[in-house]
Amino acid sequence: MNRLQGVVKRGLFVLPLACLVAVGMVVISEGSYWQAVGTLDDLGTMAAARSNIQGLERSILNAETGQRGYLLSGDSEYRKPYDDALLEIGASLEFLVQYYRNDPQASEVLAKLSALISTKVSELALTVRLYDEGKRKATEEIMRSGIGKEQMDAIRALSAELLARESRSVASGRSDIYQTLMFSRIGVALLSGFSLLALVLYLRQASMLVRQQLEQKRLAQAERDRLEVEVTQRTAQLTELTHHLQNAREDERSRLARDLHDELGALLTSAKLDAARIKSRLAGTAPEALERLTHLVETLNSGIALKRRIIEDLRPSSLSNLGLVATLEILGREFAEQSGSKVDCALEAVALDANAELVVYRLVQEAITNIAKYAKARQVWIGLSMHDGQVHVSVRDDGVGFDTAAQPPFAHGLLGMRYRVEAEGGTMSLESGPGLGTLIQVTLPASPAT
Amino acid sequence: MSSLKTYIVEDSQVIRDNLIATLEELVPVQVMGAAEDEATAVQWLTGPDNDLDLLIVDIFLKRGSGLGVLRASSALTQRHKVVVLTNYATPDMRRRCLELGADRVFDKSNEIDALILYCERLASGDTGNSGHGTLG
Repeated sequence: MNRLQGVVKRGLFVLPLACLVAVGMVVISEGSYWQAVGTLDDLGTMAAARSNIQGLERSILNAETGQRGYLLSGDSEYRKPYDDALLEIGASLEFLVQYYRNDPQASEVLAKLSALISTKVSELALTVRLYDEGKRKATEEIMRSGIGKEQMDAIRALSAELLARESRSVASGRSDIYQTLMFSRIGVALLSGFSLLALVLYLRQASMLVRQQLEQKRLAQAERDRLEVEVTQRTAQLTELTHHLQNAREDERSRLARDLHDELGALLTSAKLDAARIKSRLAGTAPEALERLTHLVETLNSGIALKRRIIEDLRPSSLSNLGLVATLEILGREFAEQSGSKVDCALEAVALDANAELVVYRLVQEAITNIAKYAKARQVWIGLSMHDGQVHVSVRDDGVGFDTAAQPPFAHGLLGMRYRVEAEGGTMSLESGPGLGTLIQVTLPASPAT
Repeated sequence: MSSLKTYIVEDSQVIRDNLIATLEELVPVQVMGAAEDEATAVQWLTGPDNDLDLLIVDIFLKRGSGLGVLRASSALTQRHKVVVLTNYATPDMRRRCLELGADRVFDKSNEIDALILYCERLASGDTGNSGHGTLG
């Protein structure tokens, strides 16, 4: 039952129903056609039978009329209608016997009629023969006897019965045709109704299908929209988190740099002061000890230089002291010295706030670190310029490049750069390919005039 | 050789104590006092008994700035030498200090010997302007 409901619900019955209706239409139409054709044929045969019955009666009358004429006039002219009528009687009887062979009742009536006719015919023949033999008296007696009239009445009665039977048959044939036509009419009307119903169901099913598809599309779109919003949200959160982490990292670096600078710096300075005092006391008294002291001072100086380098790496003081352009120049120069690559700097002064300057510095630093580690570049170009309130930074190398669709070993660094740039309201683009070198371009909004 | 009347503005106690001890040992100085913030230093400088030959100032202080001390010092009528001893001896910083009336700027890490040499020359009556310590 459930399965049937499912079939009805899904409209799976519509096509079979439409086929069934079409087949039904053809069957009904063909059936009616053939039945009507059969009945019409029967009606034609019935008309022939009627005219034969009437012809039979007429022929007998013709025969009798011919016989009377012949007997009265002796003119052989009258024999011709008589003879013709006899022939026609034979033909008509033969047709009727054939026609009624499947109808025992009618055959019985026909047999009686046939018997009466043959009696009548033989009586006519007898009178003609007697007349020809010159026995006119006998002929006259027979004619006066009135037997002929009784026979004719009986023949008429039987003919009329057969005719009435034919009339009934015709009437029933006509009513058969009417029935057939009516049946066909009702059938066609019903099946047309069914086909209309099937059409309506089909259309409804089609529109339902369209509605379902639209609904599904709408749901899919809604899901996509929801995911898009979620992705945007997550991305914003990640950007924020990265921003926060980067800030925390920079703060931590600053704190570390300050501690190194202040605390370690004070200790080293203090040690240098002690060394100066010792040097003064040893002067002239213990040359070997003075030598060790000189070495100690050198070691202290190395420690101080190391401290400076670490602090500079943690927080480029040159950025606040010398500005971005000089700092990037120093960065490029140091890289050129360390790697032996040629570094070409095209740097203009730009308006950026301290945070953005630090981002640009870190970006170039990261790019240069990557070039040093992976690119095997012969030349590096560093660009910094400003147009229309936008600061453009570019770092290009002629190294081995990489497939941007793959995950290079420095992908996290690149992603970190991108997030930092986006957190500052800028954009970053990366162009590279195996053997094509790498170009990193960053655009940042310039800070309002300071 | 007269003793240099010296005042020291330095916020790191380790350096302050050691610097005073070193100067007193190596150079004929008389440390008149020391401060670790701008306000104390300025108050002492503008006080009545501010007889002074040498002022040694650190730029970054716990409160206030050595630059404020330099400004206050240059406003005084009495002449004395002013030396900046700092960890931030960048060219920019040197320029600003000199503009504010400092005579010399020494790096705390690398130019301690030069500072001592400068003080010795001052004490021996030299103007101190001719020599630039390179003793590292």
